[in-house]
Amino acid sequence: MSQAVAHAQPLLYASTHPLPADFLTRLPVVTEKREEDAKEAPAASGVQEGQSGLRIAWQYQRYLDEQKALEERRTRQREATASATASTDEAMPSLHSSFSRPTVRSAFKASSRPEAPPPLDFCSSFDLRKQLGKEVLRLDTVHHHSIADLPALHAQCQDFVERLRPNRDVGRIVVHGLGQIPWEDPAEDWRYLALLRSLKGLVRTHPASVALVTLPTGSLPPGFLMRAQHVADTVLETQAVDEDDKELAAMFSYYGEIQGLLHVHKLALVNTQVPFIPEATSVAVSIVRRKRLTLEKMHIAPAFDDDVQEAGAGGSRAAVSAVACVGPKNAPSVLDF
Amino acid sequence: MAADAMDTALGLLGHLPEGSLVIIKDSLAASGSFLLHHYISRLLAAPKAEKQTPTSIDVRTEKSTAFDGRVGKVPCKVCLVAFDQKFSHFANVGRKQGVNLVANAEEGALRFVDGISKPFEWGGVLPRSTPCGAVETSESLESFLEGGLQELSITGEPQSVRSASPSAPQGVVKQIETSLGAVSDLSDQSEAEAKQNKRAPLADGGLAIVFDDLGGPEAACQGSAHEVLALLNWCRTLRSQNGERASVVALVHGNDMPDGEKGLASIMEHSADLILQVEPLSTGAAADIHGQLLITQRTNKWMDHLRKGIGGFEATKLPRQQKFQFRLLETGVKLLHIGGSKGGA
Repeated sequence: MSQAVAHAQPLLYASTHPLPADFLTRLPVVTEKREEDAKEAPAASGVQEGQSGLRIAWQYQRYLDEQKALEERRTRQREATASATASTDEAMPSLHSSFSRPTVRSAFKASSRPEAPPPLDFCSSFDLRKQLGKEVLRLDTVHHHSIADLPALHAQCQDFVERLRPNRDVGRIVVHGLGQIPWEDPAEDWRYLALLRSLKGLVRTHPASVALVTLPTGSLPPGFLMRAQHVADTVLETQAVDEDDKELAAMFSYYGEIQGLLHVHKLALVNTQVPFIPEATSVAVSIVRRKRLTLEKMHIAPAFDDDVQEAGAGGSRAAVSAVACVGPKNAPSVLDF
Repeated sequence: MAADAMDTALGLLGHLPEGSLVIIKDSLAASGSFLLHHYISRLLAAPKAEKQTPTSIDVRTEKSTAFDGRVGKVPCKVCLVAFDQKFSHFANVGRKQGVNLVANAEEGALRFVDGISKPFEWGGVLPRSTPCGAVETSESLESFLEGGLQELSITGEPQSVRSASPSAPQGVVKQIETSLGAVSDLSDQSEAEAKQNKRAPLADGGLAIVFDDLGGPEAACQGSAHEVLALLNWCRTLRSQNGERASVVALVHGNDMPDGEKGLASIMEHSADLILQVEPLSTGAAADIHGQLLITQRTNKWMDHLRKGIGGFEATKLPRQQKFQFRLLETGVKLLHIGGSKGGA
């Protein structure tokens, strides 16, 4: 959502909260350019412009040129990949952080001129300490509604995607906390499921649109949740970590920095039948320097292996080999496979 | 595993046996949609099954030449009812596998029923005063029979339809009606083009109706598995121009429902002739092996179809259940024997 505001792209936010605008005002702004980046930029430009600032041997100049060309090519690929991914189907913007980089301008500069979007790089780096504030509500590109009933929500979404300008806009629909108010009538399950299917149909029909729906797993019927996951193209789950969970804490050396876990249950499969296999289906969400939300692969601390080895020393070493090397259970030694 | 052996395991010996039901059961971690693509591409290129096949070698030779080109062969007509993906998705995947679905649709060999573009109008999210399914269904079914089937060039059995689906979902039928209207435009256009090009219409072979997600009809039926089953049974009573009954291939998501709820997949299994269960690897996702496939030939009718297609000594030792691991490629799928290393597309 912050990305949509930063790039002046259309955004529809619908929530069960009576005042959905409150959530919008708390969106983070784009991170300011770091000082070290600012220092690196003129240094690099000095290298490009003239030889005076160059202190390395002249024969290495060609390596600099190749590096520069390679960097430009990667930047173009990132932008192309980002636009293609965003226009396919339901996806989570936070997943795009792997090919993002910090941007220069703040979101308010973008908000002052929504008709002419500033030339921002594609970014997913936002400062959690700063919030957009009420100025975001004055943007023409941002719409917010409170979910009264499902037909009205669908009508709003349909109206939103039909107003998208072709080859220019990438519409983002965010439905926050769908089904937050629990229901008792089982027929409601099918009404909500039909809404999800209709949303899927909308984003399929209008290719430059994305829909992100969050569901509270605690209050919804399990059967509905299972069916809803099958309807969605991409299924992600966030999980909070308990500070007192010693078993989990023993597995990670940086457990204190982890804010939660993000599990990838399903990824979109469009125009291909070969699924994308991610390196890890669970990543740790942590906040760096109290302002930047990052996704990191989980690494098991070496101490955890030692603990297992010590525990297995009393009984059999099979447990160690099974955990570390996936060796046979009856292996007489750790080194036997 | 050779491609012919894989098609044998999936029952793709020429056409599917008439009136048969193939259920593809998948889960959240392993999608079974690749089997849909495989069935569509093979059925559109499949020749008419030979009645008498002396040896298995002859069958394979016949079939391999048939897949190379469709000249002189009688392909199967396919009606694809899509609730999960758009036609462009199937066309793109089919193109990678060497099948031009757009050309097949223009020729009339493939009919596409769009169930995804406007599900809101039929999917049950209607005002409480007019819940989905409250309208009398027999009229809609009749109009569907009269309108849709004529456009599909299929002759149905009205009496068996009424008995098989007394409460078939009105919303689904309405959506199919709407989609068939679009198909009729396409078929009219193709006929006009065929006249212009003086192209002879395709001789009618068998008919297969493919559902890419039974969750769509299930949602329209508000979870009534019996109505979904009635819809499938009704599809199986349709007849193509040469009098063969249609076969149905349907994908259903088979994750076990919590709280002891009996899922749609478990009910569908009891009516299926062939069950294809796609499961993830128990050891987790891998880049080389994408999952495993459990093939269960459930009925004697299906076994007879296989025996007739294979013939010879091999037909006498057909197992009821087979389990393979599979690797998905853009050009097809490789089935591997568990523990083996060699495979064929």
